[in-house]
Amino acid sequence: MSSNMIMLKSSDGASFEIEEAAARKSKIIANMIEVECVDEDKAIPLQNVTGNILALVIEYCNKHIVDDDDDVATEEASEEEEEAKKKKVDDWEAEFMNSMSLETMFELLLAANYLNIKSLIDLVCQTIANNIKDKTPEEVRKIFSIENDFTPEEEEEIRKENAWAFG
Amino acid sequence: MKMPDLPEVLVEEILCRVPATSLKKFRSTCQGWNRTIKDDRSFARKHSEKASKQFLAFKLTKICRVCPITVNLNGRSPSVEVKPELTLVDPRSNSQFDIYRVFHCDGLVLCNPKDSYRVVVWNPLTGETKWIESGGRCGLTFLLGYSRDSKSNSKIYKIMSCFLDTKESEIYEFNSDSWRKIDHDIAPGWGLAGSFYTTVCSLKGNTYWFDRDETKIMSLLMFDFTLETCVSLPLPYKCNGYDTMNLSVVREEKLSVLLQEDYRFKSEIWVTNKIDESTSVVSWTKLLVLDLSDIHISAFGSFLLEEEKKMVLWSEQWLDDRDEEMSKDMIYIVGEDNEVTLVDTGTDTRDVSFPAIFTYVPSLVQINPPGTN
Repeated sequence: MSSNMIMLKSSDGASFEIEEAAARKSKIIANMIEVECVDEDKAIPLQNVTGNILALVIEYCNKHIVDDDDDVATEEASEEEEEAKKKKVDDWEAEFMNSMSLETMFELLLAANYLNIKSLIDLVCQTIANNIKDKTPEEVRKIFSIENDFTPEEEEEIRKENAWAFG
Repeated sequence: MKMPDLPEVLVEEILCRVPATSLKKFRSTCQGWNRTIKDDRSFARKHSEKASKQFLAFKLTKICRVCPITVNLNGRSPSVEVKPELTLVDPRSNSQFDIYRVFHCDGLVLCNPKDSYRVVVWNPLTGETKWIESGGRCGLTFLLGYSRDSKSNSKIYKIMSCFLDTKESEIYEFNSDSWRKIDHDIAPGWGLAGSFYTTVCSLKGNTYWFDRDETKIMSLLMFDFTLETCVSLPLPYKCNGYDTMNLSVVREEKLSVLLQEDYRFKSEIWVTNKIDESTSVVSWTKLLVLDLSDIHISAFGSFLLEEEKKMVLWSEQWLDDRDEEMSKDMIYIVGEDNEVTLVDTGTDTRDVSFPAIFTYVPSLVQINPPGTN
């Protein structure tokens, strides 16, 4: 595994050193490395990501650094070992997301989308989905800054259609 | 603090992971979400792939209504609560439709009236229905299933209708809204007659029921909606028949059978391995052995299995010996320890249909082809 280090710079000027293998979780950065527009001495500027969010992204990438290079090992691993490994990752991800506010999750999702890290987009979307599933439409409007564009009659009609619950 | 705005594509990525019953509630958030949740087929497909499935229980009551039930199997006194009936209005009579048999497949419920001139396919979550004429023929059995489009891999829903004694079969396609004959024997070497009077279940688009071959050995028969023919699967034992046998689906991934060879034996619950499109061998594991002699189970009952908790819900019609007019709609909850909890869900003289319980997995799937809504 390569242990080349590269530098990332957040929109608010914070610099982070990260292993190239971890940075490659981001398709955008991986592309930059491929076309050799990464200067070893210069940090890659990430205009859309603040330092505190970039720190989270890097924490996630460092944890998942081995995923892609692990194919040989996984072929030999038994089913139980695989399951134990998956559970360890799941537990880490749950813990990672657990302390985050909804607002941070939104920021992290935007960053993951900008940097094109698919597995992180999936994780954050799933966590937000779990978080909002028991909320009311009013609460959800607030979270997503949505304006209620129904007429009172239309809203009443939909609520009537949805009146019964499965419990 | 104000939340950052998300682009539409990310909002959709979140919504397609929200469980179906919550999404139903979110329709009243705004016009855009309402359209996406209600009408967007590609969103519905994405949702069925990404959102975690909800396993709810429905009950067909003996007065021909479908009611959600909530089941609590925790603690020392497990319980079941039957919720108010769901509305399914017959457009002809403008009143509640009388349902005599139900069949669940992938979030859709096929409802049979007393006669079989007409059936309805119903999505209880969205309220969408499709009423289908059976061409004026009576005595048919209907099954709902799906095959996969070879190019897009999307599900193509179909109904199979069959005359049990002649095995004459037809397929209804939703896209063309028409019936076509199957011109081959769908189950060579199998009787079919009488088979469907026991439970019929749907798993991964195909349909399963008990049947006997020419040597009278009892097996499970699967109607494959892709090949439009039947395939047999062995049961745990080779046997000519059982006093009681019943079939159920476990979390949309396994089959379970309840078998009692005859009155001298206990009832056994067996579970298969996970079954999907790539499964080549179905194997059985014995999960529970129960003494159900006190509660008198019959082939007309139905059951749900909670595999992890090793608990069974059994739905049965219970006739009063002293008053033949009276019958009870019962649910029994039985666990590993053989403790039986009785839940009386209604005593009634209106004894019109056999009650049943079944798993319902809510989904946004749309029944009618595009452009017909």
